[in-house]
Amino acid sequence: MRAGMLAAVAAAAMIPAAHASRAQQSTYAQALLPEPLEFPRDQGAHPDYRQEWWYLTGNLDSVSGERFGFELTLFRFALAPGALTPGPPPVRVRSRPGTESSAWRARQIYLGHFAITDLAKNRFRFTVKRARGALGLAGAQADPFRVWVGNWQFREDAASGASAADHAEWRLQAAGHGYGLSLTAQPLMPPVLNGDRGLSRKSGEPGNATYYYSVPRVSVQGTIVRDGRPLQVHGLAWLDREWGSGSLGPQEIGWDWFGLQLRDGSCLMFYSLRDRAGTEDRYSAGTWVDSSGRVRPLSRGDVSIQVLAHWTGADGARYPSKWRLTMPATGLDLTIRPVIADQELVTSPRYWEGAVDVSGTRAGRPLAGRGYVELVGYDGTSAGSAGIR
Amino acid sequence: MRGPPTLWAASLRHFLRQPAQLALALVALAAGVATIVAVNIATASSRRALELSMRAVNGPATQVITGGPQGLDEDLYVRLFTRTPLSGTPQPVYAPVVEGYVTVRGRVMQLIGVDPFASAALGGRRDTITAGAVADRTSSLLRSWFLEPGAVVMAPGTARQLGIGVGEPLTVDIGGVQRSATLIGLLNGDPPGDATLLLADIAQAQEWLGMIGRLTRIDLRSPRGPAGAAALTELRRELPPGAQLEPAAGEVRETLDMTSAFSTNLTAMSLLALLVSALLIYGAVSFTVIQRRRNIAVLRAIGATRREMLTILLTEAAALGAAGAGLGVLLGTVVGHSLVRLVSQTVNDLYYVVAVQQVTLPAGTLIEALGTGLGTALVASLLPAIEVAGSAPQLGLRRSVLEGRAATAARRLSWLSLALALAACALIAGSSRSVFAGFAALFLLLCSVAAVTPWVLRAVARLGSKALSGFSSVGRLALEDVANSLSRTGVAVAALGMAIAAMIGVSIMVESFRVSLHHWLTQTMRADIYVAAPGPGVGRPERRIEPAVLAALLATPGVADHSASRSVVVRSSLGEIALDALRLAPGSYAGIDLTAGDPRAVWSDYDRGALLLSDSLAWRLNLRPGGRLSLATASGSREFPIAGIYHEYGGGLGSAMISLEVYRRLWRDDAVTAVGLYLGPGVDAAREVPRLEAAAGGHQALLIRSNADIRATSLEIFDRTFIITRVLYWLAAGIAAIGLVSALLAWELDRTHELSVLRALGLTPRGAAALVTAQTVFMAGAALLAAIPAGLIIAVVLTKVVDRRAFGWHIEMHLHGAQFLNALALALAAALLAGLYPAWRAAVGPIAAEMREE
Repeated sequence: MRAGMLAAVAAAAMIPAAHASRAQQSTYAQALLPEPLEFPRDQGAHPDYRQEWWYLTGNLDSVSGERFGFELTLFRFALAPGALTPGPPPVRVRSRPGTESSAWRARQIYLGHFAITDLAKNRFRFTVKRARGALGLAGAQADPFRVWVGNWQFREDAASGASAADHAEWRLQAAGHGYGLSLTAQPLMPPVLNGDRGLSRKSGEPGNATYYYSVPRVSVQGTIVRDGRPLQVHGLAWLDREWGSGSLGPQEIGWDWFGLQLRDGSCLMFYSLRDRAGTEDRYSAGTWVDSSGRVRPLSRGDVSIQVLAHWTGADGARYPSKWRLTMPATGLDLTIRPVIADQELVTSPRYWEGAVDVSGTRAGRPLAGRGYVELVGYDGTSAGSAGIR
Repeated sequence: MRGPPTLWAASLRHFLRQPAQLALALVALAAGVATIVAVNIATASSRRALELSMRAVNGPATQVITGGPQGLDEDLYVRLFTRTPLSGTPQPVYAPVVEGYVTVRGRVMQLIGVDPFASAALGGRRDTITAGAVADRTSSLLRSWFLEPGAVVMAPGTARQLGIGVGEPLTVDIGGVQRSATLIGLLNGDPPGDATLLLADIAQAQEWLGMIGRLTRIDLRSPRGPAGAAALTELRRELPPGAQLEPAAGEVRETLDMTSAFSTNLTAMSLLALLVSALLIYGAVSFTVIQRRRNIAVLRAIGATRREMLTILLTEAAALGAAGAGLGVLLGTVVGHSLVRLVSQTVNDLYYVVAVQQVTLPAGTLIEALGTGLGTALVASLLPAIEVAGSAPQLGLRRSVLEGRAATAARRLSWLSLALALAACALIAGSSRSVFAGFAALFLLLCSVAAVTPWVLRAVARLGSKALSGFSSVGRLALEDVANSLSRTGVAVAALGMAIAAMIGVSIMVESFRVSLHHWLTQTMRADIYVAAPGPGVGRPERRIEPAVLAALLATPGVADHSASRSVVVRSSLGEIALDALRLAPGSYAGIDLTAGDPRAVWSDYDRGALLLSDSLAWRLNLRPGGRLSLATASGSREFPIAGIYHEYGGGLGSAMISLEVYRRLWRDDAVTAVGLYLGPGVDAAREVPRLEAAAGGHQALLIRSNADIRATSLEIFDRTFIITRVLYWLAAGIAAIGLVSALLAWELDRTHELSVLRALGLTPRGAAALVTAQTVFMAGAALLAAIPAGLIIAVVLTKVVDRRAFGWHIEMHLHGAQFLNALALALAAALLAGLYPAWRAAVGPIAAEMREE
């Protein structure tokens, strides 16, 4: 789910507010039942759904031993249901001079977030890029796979020739605020369907759901350019893909999302939805992938998360900053720590998304790992109220 | 303060006893200072408004990429925006703009089509649309921006003035075509410069302006430092032919250059106002000193030192100067507000859409105004004060001594006047292109008029007195009296002479210009009917006759032939120039008045792609037939030969002419801005116009006007342009008149005693009034006498030197009786007004009481 809600929140800024959209909601496609996902088709855009995202996060090491984290997220939002390229406004007569339609007309808009965590310099930098889905300024396509906002992009590497998601070779490119990122990426495992065969429910209301798959282990290598100087890096990234037309339930105000890659080859994704009373919502869920690739869906009772510390952002948002996560069924007992405290993206709305270190034990044996955590709904403007309902 | 209290008390008492005189001195001072302030405010405010509206459009851009008349291909922006990042070093941020002029409920507005995301990234105020949407969670605004047909946004103040509420429909007139729009939101606040903006999505602007696939420009903000410089160098290499990278300020500068022709006019007026004001202040203040020579002599006789007297007189002058200048600044600010409207109207007619919302008072103006007021007051009192305070006490009591000195001064001044006039001639002869030299010569000539006037006054009075000696002793007495009171009246008469001379000169210049323009219009406009798309500015994309409409017009019965033109602004190697691409009908050739170039070869060269330059452009760029000019075409820069020069009175900067066929090929632009229609024999233009209107009806509201109609409109615009000139010279003349009134009034009051003696000797009340009136009229006549030849010379300098140098115009001199009648009326009005009260007093005053004072 993770980005799903973030998208919902960000969409609040761009897409009609609650009541206006309710009438229109019927005309967007809805995520109601599990449907078989197909590749490469489902890598590309699903313009009939209101929102969609391609979410890459990862931990990197340079050859010289420096540590980095990165986030590259590309969102798509439909402004109105209907075709990607709208026709000219209905009143026009095509044959009259001056009545042609501009190529700038657009019904889809794209948003990119790019963030770098630089441990050696103790820096966290983020950049936002927006563009309309027109003229090739931004867009998404399935085959050959490419999603881009301006010069930021996540695409199939033309050289690889493979288009299936499990064998593909991808390229990632983004730059901003003194950092440039250029990586090639190879998925180390096939896509994992979250929820019920890929349908991830966010609340009791039908339609408040998304289609959600992840590639939890993606090998990446390439270059980070810092202040004009290139550094060779390699590491492990996580891809999340999600699309839908719904939002959070009325009582839900935010979530904590964990994506952990453990040294023994296993992976854990878990999102803990919070309601207005501050308690964990019953729709909280996750996915466990063991080292042999076996997938097991998780529900609220399967994982227990205890907040051990807090960090307060410059503008007063108080985020949890250290956790103890236990999963009795697998004997996991993990402590999760941000690599640096301040990894807050001051956007509208603001959220915290950062690289974390994992240490602890599994059935008594020491186990370490790395990952990314996303914290939404702590800035006072609750994700629920800002949501796209 | 130094000096015994008695002396200060005497000083104060003098002014309290003579409140009228004090008031008049203050009025003269204030009026002079006010003129300077008003003119400066008007000019500065218009410039400021222009700058602000340019800035509102450009936002925080540091550079701008522009193309030719057709703008840029939008693909350039797409390429720049999606270019692969180089290295994480700072890169320029780009924002596309599509721009044009539209009319909303009668108000001309600048339609700016933007991409809100790009503008937000650029960091401009235009991001208020998106930032506002995010911050306020009024997300429906962004949705409407993209999806609602005709969505526009404007400043809240403008919406209020136009009476349009958010969510309400409006009609936008784009080059005569009506489009439906909806006001979906308001800009944040009402910063100056926003008042004329109409923001829309770039897609909407492209569709409305007929600019599908094109951009007016791309604004960019480049990073600072070496990284930014490197990025720009690389960008420059990547630009397609015809596109150019310029500093963002360039556009502002370019437009300001357009107005400089206009502000030259204002500068001249402000200079004149300064000069006339300084002289008047001199007259008023020096009079307050001279008038008291008797009191001062008495004070000196009872022991006041020269130093004490000087201190007191100069302190008085400083106080008077400060008070007058202060009043003047206040008054000038008020008058300036009204002038601003006139000035901005002119700028809008000719150049650009400007809404002057803030009145700017430049800091320099305050210093200039206070300096003139205070400085002139001090100088004015210093010279007579030294003279009066320094003279031996008993001499000071005798006016004859003073007048003797004044007569000597007048003689010397007449020599100075000659020297000044010669210097002016030398200055003109010694410079060939300098406008400044032209102004300096004009200034010297005005000073020369002022310097000679007292001598003329005295000489004419002497002559008149001799001539009258056999007929009327009272008349002789009156003129002798005038000749002997130069110290009191000389300065005021000189000021009046100068104002009248300036008035005559300027009005001859304006009238000559008008007549020349009329002749030129008659000669040039050969077609029977002219058709153009409405809208301000030249060379704008929205001022385009739609092709289907054009075809319908040409197919209308009665139309025999046509000429067509496309007016654009293109970059040349010597800066931007206005280019008229013309297809001439056979009848049109005779309308082009060639002033240089081989008449037999010009037109064949023209058809082959040579340029013709207007005389103002040729003068400005210093180009001649046989020379070459490089222009930026759609396929890069290209050299054009110059075949000839033609006569034109355009916006002041001139234009070049090129064959429409050649233009279309080289600039890949087939738009037509205007057509001239030649009607078949026997077809009446007045009847044809409605037929043409019907042909265009429903598609585009065009300006379809007969030849005569256009001529009248052109002259109307011309007249409006010169309203401010007229207002200013009447203002200058008014100040001069007030100066004369104050000087005469004081003089007449001062010599009530003499008049009482004459009355006692048998002069009737009517005779006394006639005497006083005759004197004042005579003085005004003398001023006029000096002013008429001087005014003619000034007119010659203005038309043949200043206008030629500033605009390159050839103007034929045309004299009209009205110009002299105006001057005569002004002189007479001043004289009669000045003589009215003294004449009345002379007639009814109690003779005995006045005499007893002695």
